Amino acid sequence: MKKRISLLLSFLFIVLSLVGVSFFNPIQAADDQVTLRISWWGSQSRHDYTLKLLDMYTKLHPNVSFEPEYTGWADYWTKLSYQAAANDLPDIMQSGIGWPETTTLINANMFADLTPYRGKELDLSGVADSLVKTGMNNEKLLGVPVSSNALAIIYDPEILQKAGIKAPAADYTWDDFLSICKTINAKLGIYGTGEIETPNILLTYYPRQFGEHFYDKDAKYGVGISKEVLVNYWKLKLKLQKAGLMPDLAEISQEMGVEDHPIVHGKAAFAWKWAPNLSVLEAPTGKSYKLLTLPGPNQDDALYIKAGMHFSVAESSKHKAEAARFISWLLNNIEANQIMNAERGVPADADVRAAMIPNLGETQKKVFEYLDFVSQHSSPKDTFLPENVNDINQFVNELEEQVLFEVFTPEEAADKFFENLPNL
Amino acid sequence: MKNTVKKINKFIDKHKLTGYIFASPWIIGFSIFFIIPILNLIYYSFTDFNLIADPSWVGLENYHHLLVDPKILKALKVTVSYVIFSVIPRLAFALFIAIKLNQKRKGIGIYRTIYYIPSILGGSVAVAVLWRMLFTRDGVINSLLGLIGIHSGISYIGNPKTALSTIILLAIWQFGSSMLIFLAGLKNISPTYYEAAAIDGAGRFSIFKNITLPLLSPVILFNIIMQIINGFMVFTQGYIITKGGPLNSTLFWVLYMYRRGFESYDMGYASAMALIMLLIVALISLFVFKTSSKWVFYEVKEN
Repeated sequence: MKKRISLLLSFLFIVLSLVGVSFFNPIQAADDQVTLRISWWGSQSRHDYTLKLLDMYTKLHPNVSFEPEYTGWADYWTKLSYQAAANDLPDIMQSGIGWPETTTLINANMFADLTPYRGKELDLSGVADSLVKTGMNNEKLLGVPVSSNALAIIYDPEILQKAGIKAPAADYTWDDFLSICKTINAKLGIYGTGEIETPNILLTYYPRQFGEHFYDKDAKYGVGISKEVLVNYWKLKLKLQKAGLMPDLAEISQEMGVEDHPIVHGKAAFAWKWAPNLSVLEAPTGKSYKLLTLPGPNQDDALYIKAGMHFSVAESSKHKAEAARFISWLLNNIEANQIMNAERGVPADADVRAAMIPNLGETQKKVFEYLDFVSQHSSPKDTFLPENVNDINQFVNELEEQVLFEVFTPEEAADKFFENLPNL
Repeated sequence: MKNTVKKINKFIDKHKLTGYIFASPWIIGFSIFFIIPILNLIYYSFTDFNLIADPSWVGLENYHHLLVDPKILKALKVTVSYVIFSVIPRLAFALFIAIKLNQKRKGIGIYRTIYYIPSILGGSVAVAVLWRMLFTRDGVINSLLGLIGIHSGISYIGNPKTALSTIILLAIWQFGSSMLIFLAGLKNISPTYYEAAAIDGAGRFSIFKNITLPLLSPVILFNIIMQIINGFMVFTQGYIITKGGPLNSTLFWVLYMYRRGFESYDMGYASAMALIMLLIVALISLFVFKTSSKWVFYEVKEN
C-alpha cells in the first residue's frame, strides 16, 4: 500500500511538473485580430514611451495588439540571433541596415523586402531618398529609416573663449583642428579633444576625404583604403595622444559611457560623437555646447547622413502588411513623434520635422539644425560591407591599440593590416 | 487483480523504479541541460556555424585554426596565470582567516559575516564597476597614494603591465566561500587531538602541521578543485573591468570564446574552444585527484 502511494505521488509529481510546461499556450485570437511581436533596444525612458505608443496604436486600431520585447543594446543582437536560429523572430524589429551587427541576419535573408508595401501600407513620401536608400540592400527595402543621424563635433564655446580662440569656420581643416587643440593645451593645460572617435567610426569618414572608401565593393578583399591614408590616420591619432592633446588609450578605455566624456569634466573642448549625443553631454553639466562638422578637407564628400535606426519586418512574419502599417504610423504620425520627442534621432519624415520645430527645446533645436546643414553638405553613406566585417573591424581595433601603446609604428601596423587581410 | 498488483510491485522492486522516478526530474534536467548541449557542442565544433544558417561540416578546420591563432596562446597564458596567482593566495588567505575565526570569542559571528561579505558582492557587476573606480588614473588608490606623497599617474586598469594583477587582487579579495568551507572543516576536527597535543607540549606550528593540516586535507582538496574550475571560468571581471584589454592582457579564455561566438558569430570556433577548455579542466582535476592519494588523509578509509 505504502509503495503504491509513493508511486502515485511520484507520478503526480512528474505529471504536475510537465503540466507546468505545457500550459504555455498562446491565446487563440479571432481571425481579424492580429498580434504583432515587436522588439527594440534602448534605455528605460525609451521602453516607457514606446509602450505608451503601442497602447495608443491599439486604441486607434483595436484589431492590433502587441507583444513587446525590449532589452539594452548589448543583449539585443545576441537575442535576435538566437531567435533567428529558432526561426522565431519578432514581426517588427528595431534594426540597423548596413551596420556590422545585422550583416549575418541580412545574409541569412531574415528581413522581409518591404518594397511591395511602399506607397500602400507604408508611406515614405516625406522621407528623403538618400535616407530611404540606407535601408536598402541589393535593391530590397529591408529597413525603414525612422530617424536621421550624422557624425559631429560637440564643443564647449566657453573653453574656446577662455583660450582666446574663435570658433572654427565650417571649412576648417585637420591642421586648424590640431593648432586649436595645441593652443587650448598650452593656455589651459587641458586636453584639446576627447578621442577622435573609435577607428570603426572615424574610418567611415576619414578615407572619404581623400577619395577612398574603407569598405569598397570593387577593391581587393572589399577594403578600399590605401596604405598611405591608413598610415596618415594612425600618425594623426598618435600625434594627438603623444602631444597630450587627446587622452591616451589607458584613459579612454576607462570612460564609463557617453556622459563620462572629458568635455563633461571640463578636461577637453571637443567631443567627437553622433549629433543626438548632445543632450547626453549637456545634461550633467547644464552647459550649452555647440555642434560643428568634422574637419576638412572635402567635408562634403566625406560627411554622410545615416539612419539613426531602422525598423524591419521579419521574413517569417505572417502579418507583414499590418507590421508595415504600424511602422508607417510611427514614421508619419505627428502626435506619436511628439511623444517620441526625437529620442530615436531626428525624425525622418519632413512634415513631422516641420511640425515639431516650434516646440523644440534648445538642445533638440541645435541637433535639428545641424542635421539640416549636414543634409546639404554630405554624400551618400557607403553601403557595402564585406562578409567578414566584424573580423576586420576587430583587427583594426587591435592594431590601433598596438599603435597607441607604441608596440608598432603606424607603418608597421598598416603593413600588418594588409598582410593579414586575406586570412581574416 | 491482486496478482497484477503484486506483479507490478515486484517489477517496481526489482528495478528500483521508485527511486528512479523520484530522481527523474534531475535526470531529465541533466540530460536536457547538460548531456544534449555537450553533444551538440561536440558536433558544432566540427562545423562552420553562425547561429542562424544551418551548420556545415568542416571537419577539423576549427581545431586547425586554434593551433595557429596567436590569441589562443595569449588567452591560455592569461587564464593560467590568473588561476595560479589567484587560487593559491586566495586559499592560503582563506585558511589563515578561517583559523583566526575558529575560536570562541565575543562577537566572532560578526567578524565571520564581515569577512564573508566580499564573496557575496564579488562576482557581481557592481563590484566590477567599483574596482574600475578604485584603480583608474583618478581612482581612490592613486588619491590615497597621493596623500602619502606618492604621485602616480598610472591607470592600473589601463596599463597592460598591471591590468591582470588588479583583477587577480579582486579574486583574492573574494575568499569568503572557501573560508566558510575551511571553517566547517576546522570545526569537525575533534578537540581531543588538540588537548593531547597540548599535554604533550607541542608548539603551535607543530600542531598546525601535524594535526590541523592532515585532518583538513580532504577539505583542502575540495577547495582546490572547486577554485581551479571557477578560476578557469573567469569572465565577468575581464568583460566589465578591462574588456579584455589593454593589449589583450586580460583576454581570458571564456571572454575570447564569448567574443568569437557572440560578436564574430563564429559558433563553430567557440564550440571548439569550449571543448578544449573542458578537456584542460578535466585533465587538471584528474591530475589533482591522482596526486591527492599522496597528501590527503581520510580518518575513515573504505576497506
